[in-house]
Amino acid sequence: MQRYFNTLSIRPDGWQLSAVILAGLVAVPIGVIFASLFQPEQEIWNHLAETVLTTLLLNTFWLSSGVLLCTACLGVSLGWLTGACSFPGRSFFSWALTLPMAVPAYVMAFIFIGVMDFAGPVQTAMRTLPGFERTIIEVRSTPFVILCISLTLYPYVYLLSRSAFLSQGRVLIEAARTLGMAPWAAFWKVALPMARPWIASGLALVLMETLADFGAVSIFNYDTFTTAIYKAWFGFFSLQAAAQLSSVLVVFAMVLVLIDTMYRSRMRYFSSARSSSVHNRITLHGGKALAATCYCSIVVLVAFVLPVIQLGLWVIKANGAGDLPNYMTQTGRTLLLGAGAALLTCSAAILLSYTKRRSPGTLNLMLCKISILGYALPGTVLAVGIFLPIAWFDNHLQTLLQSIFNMQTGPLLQGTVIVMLMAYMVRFMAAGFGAVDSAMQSISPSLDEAAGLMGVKGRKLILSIHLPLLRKGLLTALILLMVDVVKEMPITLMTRPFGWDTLAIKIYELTSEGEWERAALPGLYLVMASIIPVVLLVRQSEK
Amino acid sequence: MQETVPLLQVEQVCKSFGSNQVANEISFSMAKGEIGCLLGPSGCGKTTLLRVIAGFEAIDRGQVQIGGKIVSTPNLSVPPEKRSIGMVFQDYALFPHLTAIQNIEFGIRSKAQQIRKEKVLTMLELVGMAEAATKYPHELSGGQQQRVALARALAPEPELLLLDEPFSNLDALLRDRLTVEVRDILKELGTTALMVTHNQHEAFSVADKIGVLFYGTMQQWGNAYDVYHRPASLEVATFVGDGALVTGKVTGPGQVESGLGLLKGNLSLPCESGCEVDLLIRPEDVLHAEDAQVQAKVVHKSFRGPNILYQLELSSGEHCRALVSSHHNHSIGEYIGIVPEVDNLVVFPRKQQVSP
Repeated sequence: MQRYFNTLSIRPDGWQLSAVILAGLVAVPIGVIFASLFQPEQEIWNHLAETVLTTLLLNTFWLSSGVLLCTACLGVSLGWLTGACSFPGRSFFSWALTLPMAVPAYVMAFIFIGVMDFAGPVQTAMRTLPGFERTIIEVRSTPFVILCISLTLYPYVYLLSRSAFLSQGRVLIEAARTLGMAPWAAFWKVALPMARPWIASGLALVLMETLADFGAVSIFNYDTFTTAIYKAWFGFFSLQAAAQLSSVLVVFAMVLVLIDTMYRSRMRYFSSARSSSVHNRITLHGGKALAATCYCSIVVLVAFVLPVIQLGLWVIKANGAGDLPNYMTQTGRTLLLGAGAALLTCSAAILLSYTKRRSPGTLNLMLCKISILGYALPGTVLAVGIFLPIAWFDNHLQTLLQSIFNMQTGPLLQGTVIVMLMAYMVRFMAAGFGAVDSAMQSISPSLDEAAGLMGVKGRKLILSIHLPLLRKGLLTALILLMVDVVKEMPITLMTRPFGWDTLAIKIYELTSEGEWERAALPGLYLVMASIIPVVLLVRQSEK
Repeated sequence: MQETVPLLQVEQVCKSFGSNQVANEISFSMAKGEIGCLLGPSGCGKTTLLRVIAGFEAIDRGQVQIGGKIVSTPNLSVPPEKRSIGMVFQDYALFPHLTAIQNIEFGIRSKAQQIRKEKVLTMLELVGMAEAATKYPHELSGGQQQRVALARALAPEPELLLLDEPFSNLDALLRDRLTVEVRDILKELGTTALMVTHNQHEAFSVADKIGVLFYGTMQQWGNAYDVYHRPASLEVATFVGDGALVTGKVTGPGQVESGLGLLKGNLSLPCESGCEVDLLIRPEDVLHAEDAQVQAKVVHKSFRGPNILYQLELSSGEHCRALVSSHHNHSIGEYIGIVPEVDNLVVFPRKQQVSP
């Protein structure tokens, strides 16, 4: 019995208690949504089945498979070119290809529609061509949504498969060649199968993001579960229907988390850590080199350069009159919200990471794992999952206060910034925890022991040793988190206090009225802010 | 053709990376069934030479033939997969996503299933790995990975097997056992093999022919006995074995006067009388006798079980080593009597005399 407790490392202390609370914060929304899966409300499901369910399932299916296919082709081919080959401009493209990550999918979406729509410049120009006068391209259609989302998400697959090809080194390919395999065959038989865990993990992330996407699909008027959840709640005021729809997504998300974890644990067996020999790139010559350079240029151009130029043009056109100060309030709020959420999440991440460091027992490791699950939850689902228990809590508190003190209070937590911050924390804990924990792990435990021998312990140890060493990691975590929060759309939209607009909300409102040009300025702000973490990421990978 | 064609023939191969010449006019050849070994300190160009033979590196001059076919010239390089070679890599390079069996099958995948199966079983049996057949590389120990790597390289029955520092990742005990095993396996199959190593004990226990490389130059190509007892250069003499050099002067045919007294034997170089030389003294050439004329001071000793390796200071101030039975335990600072017994006097002209 004693041993059992030891392995679970149950030692009541403040650290562990707060870790339990944090894990609880994540577990409750997931639990609430899961619970609604097991209490299917027949009436709602009947209604959903009659009306939207088939469309939703089909749309989600086509969108997911399309995006997976596109991002796999783009990501793996680009990752292989920049990771294993050598052609003009390779080192430039290896970071430039990550830039599209800085364009939020919903910004990309309204640029796409603005440019490609019936009245947009592309189709207008096309109609002047002989033979195309009556051609109409429906831009609000499945292929275009897929293309738009793929262009912003392919960097996940690209980055992971690139690092896979880089880590393989040359030895295994050489081994395949001494066994009678031509270079191209060696790629299919050795390099690609070995990159599978990375590719799969990248695709799992892409799928999570696709399922979670709310902004882009609503701009395209493409109904998926996330938009349906939003409509159920704010259109039909049926929180139950929203919860029922959310439960479907939660199942998907948790399956993806499992897949991701499984493949990540396999990576270490598949990288040849010992072959530190220089990477032998396949040098492309002549036409092939030209094709590679063109291919990479086109992707960077279409996925980043042109969209940003278009945003710039719109900004100049619409805001020449000095529209800039109009967004001051929203920008201020956005930054405040971002900073607040980043600080909160970072503190929580330190807490978790520290609990793990103090006693890395099974229980604490489990608490950490649960606490970061929020990354897989679509914002819409999370909003529903947080709102339900908060509403319940508010109602009970209200009744309690009334019965005891005969006080008439409104809802205490609903519609406050606190709920918003909590939701952000749950959603982005993984990003914060990842950055903080890797910094924490690089502090050798023998430092603690050395400090302990000199009488420095407890709070003093944290202040004088750990925090100074963690500073860089914390800064990275804060920036990453802030940008994530600033871009976040559905959580903000669904949990904000009434009338509390941020840049993302402004974009949602303007684009739902088709005002692409006015949405360009907040869009440009967001893209600029999002470039920061991309640059950080690139610098990190170059070390 | 009357004479048997050498299986591997390397002729005047030159190779440089930028200004760094890593192979300089290297020539040697190996007959079918021979096991060769390229020995040298790290950075001497031995691995590059192996990679040239494998076809991973192009050459600047010279040519390489395998089985009578020209495979490398400055203008032509037959790709590795068309050379009929097998290779065992330093870190084994087993495919991590394939099991031991699948790794071994990899090189014979175009063969019929029945043949493939039999071959894999034979190979597993040969390297003594039958029980680990379905395991993945990360589930195998270093020695087991080594065996699978050997089986994989041998399965396609290559004309020439190349081994790049194959034992360097193993601990000493396992290394000794595996070197003998690998030699037995290669001899049983009659495979021609060329191994690269920096460890002379490995080279001695595996190879029929040893090539000693220094700074991209082949110093000597010969059997273990010759490399040890008839080193072709000062570098070979000092790199191989625990020898020491003492200065001496040739006083007559087959006579050298040195700090160890007057030595008589066969001179390795035709030297005239009065010639100043460096004389190679192997530890086993220096015998211990209490009542010997020459007395030397013990400055260092290392106990090796059956014997003790003494580092001795001669009256001339020079050092040499002596391998003495460990029953004769002397302490540091003590003077002991020594008798040099050198039949082959390995001498090299003194550096000062070479230059003018």
